[in-house]
Amino acid sequence: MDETPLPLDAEPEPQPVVAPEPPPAPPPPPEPLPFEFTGRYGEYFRIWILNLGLSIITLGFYSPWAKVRRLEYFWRNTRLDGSSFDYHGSPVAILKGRVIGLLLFAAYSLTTKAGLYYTLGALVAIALVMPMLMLGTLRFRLHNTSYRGIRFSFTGSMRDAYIAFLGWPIVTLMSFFTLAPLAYQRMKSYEHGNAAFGQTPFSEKIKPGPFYGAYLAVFFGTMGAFMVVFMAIGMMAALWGLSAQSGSAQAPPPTGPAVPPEVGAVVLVAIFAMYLLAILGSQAFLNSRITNAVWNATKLGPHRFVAKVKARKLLWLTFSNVAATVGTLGLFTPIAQIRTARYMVSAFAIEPASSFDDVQAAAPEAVGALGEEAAGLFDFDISF
Amino acid sequence: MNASYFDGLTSRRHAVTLNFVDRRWVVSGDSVQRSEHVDSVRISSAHGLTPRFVTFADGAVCEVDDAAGLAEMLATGSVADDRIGGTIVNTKLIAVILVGFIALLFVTYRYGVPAAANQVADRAPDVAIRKLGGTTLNALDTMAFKPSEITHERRSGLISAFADVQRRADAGASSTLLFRKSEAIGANAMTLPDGTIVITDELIALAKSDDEIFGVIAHEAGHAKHRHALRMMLESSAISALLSWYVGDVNTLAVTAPASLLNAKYSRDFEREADEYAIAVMKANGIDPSVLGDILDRMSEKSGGSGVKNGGPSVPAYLSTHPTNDERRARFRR
Repeated sequence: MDETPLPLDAEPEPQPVVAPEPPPAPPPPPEPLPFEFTGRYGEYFRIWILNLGLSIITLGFYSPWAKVRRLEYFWRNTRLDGSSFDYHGSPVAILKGRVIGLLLFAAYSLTTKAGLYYTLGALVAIALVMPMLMLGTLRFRLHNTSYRGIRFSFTGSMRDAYIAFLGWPIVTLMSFFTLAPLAYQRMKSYEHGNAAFGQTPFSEKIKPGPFYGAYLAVFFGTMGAFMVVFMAIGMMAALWGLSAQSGSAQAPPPTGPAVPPEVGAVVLVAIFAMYLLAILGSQAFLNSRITNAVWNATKLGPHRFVAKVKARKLLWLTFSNVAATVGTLGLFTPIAQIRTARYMVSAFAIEPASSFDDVQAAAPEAVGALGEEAAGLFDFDISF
Repeated sequence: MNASYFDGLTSRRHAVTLNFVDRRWVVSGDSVQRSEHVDSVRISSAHGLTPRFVTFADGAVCEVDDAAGLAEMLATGSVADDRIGGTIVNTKLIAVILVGFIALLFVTYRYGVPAAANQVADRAPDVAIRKLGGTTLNALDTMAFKPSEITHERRSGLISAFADVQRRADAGASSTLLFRKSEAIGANAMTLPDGTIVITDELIALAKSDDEIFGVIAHEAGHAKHRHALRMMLESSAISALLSWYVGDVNTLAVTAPASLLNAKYSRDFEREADEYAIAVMKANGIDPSVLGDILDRMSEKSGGSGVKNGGPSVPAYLSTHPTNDERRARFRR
């Protein structure tokens, strides 16, 4: 046997000392893609005026077409990553729904004449049907929304709809509203957890905590506002008797020392403004907190949503919109709508885990006549 | 023109150029080539500069950001475009609609609502009106009134005297008079929804002559004859309902203040109507209408009415439900 002679004094090759490879750097967080609203004030004002004129001339008959035009304008001016959304709702479906709604409302009004039990019965019937209508609305709205040629859809089951929109409200009542925030959270979970974009589903991890926080804050805030207003009114009443009885020969006497009436009027307006501010403030706070909580816990496939609505900005927006709308006999309304859309849309973004290119369309699915018309029925405006 | 093409099966975006040639839409890009006849393609409605969609029969869609360019392409190719959407560039039309709408608002408020309320008030069944009056009186008796301390003879004297006064001026009318004592309300008279007139003892005491009392009652009878209380209720609920509907998604709180302001004006119209009735009744009986002005002055002095003395309004006119006393005094002296 010939062995390869091992060089006796060969030393084993020195192993190079290699520092252990640093762990691969975590992938840089994806650049969030912001949503954008490109609606223009002048342009939409004209559309709004045109809609108004046509609706009045046709005694309201045109209004489903007006509604579709409005939603088209807002959807198509909402952009993400260089593409805009689209709205496909049919005015005829909305019209049919409204006619049915009107008939139902007339029937309901008749029951109020027939007696208390009939009215109660009607209310119970409405409550029983409501989840079906909500489901129809969600399916209608989502199915008629598309992005890059792919439609959205709502896949929630009827059973879960009843749990969310009937079961939880009943629980709320039975718990004397202590579980109301929880019920609201379950509704939102149902809405967000059962939507899909093509074949890519939405998912949610919404928690009840933020709902409770927001509602408690609003509760105390509103109570505080009421107390302040009542105290102020009490002071005013003491200083300057307020009452007007129409039909009497003379305005009845004030009961105290005369206060310059101009001051009185200003104080009245100030109290009213404070009250309005308090109510709007609570709403803005609630809205922003819950919107953020809900969307920050929602994903589309692997992509995360980011919502940064600020309560203070929303409050200023709402208050100034209300003041301007009232001051202009409502003509400010379209401006207010554009203003709000611009802010709200810009507060949203998506963190894409990958490109959006590979979303597959879902199998085409007819939403179903009842869904479309049911949605038109109560004309729900679900903010997406 | 440049566009984005989506095949409707995946969300992948294809950059393409879109052309309209020979009644056909032609899409060409790196991975897309198609040409479709104009009739098989749907163009989305026009909303100014908003992106538009060219949708093919198989669900594929071309998204076009250059809306103006697309409109031009359609015009050049003689394709009918969204006519309603196209009108928004017509500034004159928009201005006309705007002005027309404001005029409509004004007319509704000034004439529409009162006319409608009148129609309803005139046709309101007596049964309903009596019921309304009854409940109001009960409430007042509980809260503000005590039984009158004026003698029975004095009361029936006034009642029959006024019945004569009224018959001379307005043959068919007859008013029910009630007397009450009220420290809270003081010298005053009021008309209930069913036309019953309530006069306070304090007013009788304040009057220097029966003519003054008749003037006040005649004013109230004017309210009764024209069903002002009922019309007031109808108009104010109509205004509130209209405002709520109109203002829409705005907080309904925002509605109450404007509603009060608007209602105040209707109220002043009623006062004017009642004053005119009173003047007619007094003239028909040879009573000098200015006596009504005298007792009104005395009533407001007694109540320490703020600022009335120097002719200034007691509240800013637009907030007041009664016209300023200056206006009324001038009316009575005419």
